[in-house]
Amino acid sequence: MNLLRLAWKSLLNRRSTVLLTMLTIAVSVALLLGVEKVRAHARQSFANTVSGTDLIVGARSGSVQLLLYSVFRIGNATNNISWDSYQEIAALPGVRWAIPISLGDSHRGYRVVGTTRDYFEHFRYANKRRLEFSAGQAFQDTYDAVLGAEVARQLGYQSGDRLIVTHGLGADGLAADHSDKPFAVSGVLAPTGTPVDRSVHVSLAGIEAIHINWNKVETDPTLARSSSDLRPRAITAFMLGLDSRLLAFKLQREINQYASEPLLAIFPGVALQELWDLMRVAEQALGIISLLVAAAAMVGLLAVSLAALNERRREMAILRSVGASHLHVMGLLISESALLTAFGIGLGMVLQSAVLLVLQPWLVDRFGLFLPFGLHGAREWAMLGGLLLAGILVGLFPAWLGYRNSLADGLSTRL
Amino acid sequence: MNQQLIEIENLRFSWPGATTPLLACDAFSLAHGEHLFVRGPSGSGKSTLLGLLTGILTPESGRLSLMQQDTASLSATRRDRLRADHIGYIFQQFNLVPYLDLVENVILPCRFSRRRTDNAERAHGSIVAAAEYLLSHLFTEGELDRKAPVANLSVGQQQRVAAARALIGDPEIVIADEPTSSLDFSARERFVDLLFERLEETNATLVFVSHDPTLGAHFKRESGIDEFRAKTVA
Repeated sequence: MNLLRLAWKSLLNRRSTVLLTMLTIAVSVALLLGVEKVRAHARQSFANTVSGTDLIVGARSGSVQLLLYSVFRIGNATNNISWDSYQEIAALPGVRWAIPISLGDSHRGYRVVGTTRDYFEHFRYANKRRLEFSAGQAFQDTYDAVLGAEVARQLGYQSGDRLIVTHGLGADGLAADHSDKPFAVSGVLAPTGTPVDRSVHVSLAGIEAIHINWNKVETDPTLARSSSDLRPRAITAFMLGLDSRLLAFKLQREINQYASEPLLAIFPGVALQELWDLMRVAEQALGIISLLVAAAAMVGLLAVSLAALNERRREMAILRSVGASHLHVMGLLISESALLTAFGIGLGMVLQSAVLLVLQPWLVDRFGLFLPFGLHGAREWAMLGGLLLAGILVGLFPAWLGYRNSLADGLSTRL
Repeated sequence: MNQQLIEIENLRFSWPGATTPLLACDAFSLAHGEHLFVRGPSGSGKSTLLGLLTGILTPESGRLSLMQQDTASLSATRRDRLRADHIGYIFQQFNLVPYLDLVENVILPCRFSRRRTDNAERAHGSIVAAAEYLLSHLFTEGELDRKAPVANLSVGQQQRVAAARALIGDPEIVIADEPTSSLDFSARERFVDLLFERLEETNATLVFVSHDPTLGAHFKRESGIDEFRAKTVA
């Protein structure tokens, strides 16, 4: 009917307050959608970090801690595990592949991962995708290094460039540099959107080599080059691929009861879920904040509607005089509220896309988090629908007051 | 044919809580084409009478018929429809909806009445043409600034726009509540003349309420508000 037209003109007539209210609704919509987007995709990108690995084994500690340092390269291992244990477990029947990981060094803030060429062969991420080289190849020599995509891009390295590994995770330029043993870049990996992008991969032999004669003033690089001396004594963790999933439970139990040293074997999926449960507090806090902002926007809408109501008693009397019923008066006020909310939602979607347009490259850079444009799920539509419904419900209150006013006023209004 | 558009029998009306009725009228009727001047100061039950005549209020007892329909027997929605279809109303002042332009204000009743829309379209082709026709007769050429917001019109101009709104779609009854009280003498004369000229064309019935007795000279029929008021027993 023509009520929407009337409502629209009435809103236009009060455009400054209406626009501000619309803006607060838009901000809350942008926030709601943004949080939902981060939530959905952070979870996805979390789950994408490791795939196809049946067990992760490290020194006995917490499963989340083991997952964090072995896969996310966050934090440190409390203890190493012996090379002998690794070899024994890797040789067990049913083990298809094993990838040892040795952590503890860094290069300009990026973690250095000592491993074997099996890493490039067997490691999988996302939907069982394997690592690919965008340039060069896997390390061949003791002093070769393979860079993650982000390391190469951020630091501007290409194949053949040399780099110095730092002992521990401190900043460069301190005395802890393994500057006597520079590495050469043998290859660069294609971007994966996982912590692999932020890692420098070298051979286990390379890790051993730079620690030979460590802390001794006299060093002889040539000494370290004989590979028989470079057998690792300890590693930080290892990943296992098994012939059958069923085997994993049996093997996990065996590893957890390993006699010669205390070990811990975890299922990556289970540990990821545990980690995600920890993050849920933050996720819920964000969700609550955006709901509060939405509630504040609705209170603003109510305030604006109520403030205008008294000034509009005459307008309502005019409408009544030309034949508008009480239902029309109420309908007009509810339509205004609904229209304002709907436009606020539209503006919010535009705002959210604009913010994403600006932030998208940074999020990919900084967190490896790719957030696509647009709406993706029923949850988002439900949120927007819920907000529109809230706008209509908020409109009911001034509509009811307007109804009471027009009942009391009839055609006579105070001027 | 006795075309009584407004008929009152034994009407009593009092506001809730009042012990004595405010209005009491045993017999009254107004025929098609009649013009009635009701003289009375404000605060004399005038608003209540107008509320009853427009179907906003219904009698407590007795009978008030509009267009041969007993208002008390109609639902509120039906009374709203009756008002939309058959009654044009002019307020004392501030008649116009500020966010609608001139023509939109005039055609506002057509938005609520199919019947008045049909009447306007039949006579003029479209409701906008009907509005333009009325405005052209109520204003001299070039007098109206079409672009200006309606709130910028002078009070006299606003009252004439209100008259156009009350007349569009040829309602049978036009009710004017002190329409000239805010106008100076010349504007008042002009308004009344133009209104009568338009009513002549449609032969509508007019109820014109004012506290200004000098206006009574324009009317054939005149009554005091006292005729509708309950007699206070001394």
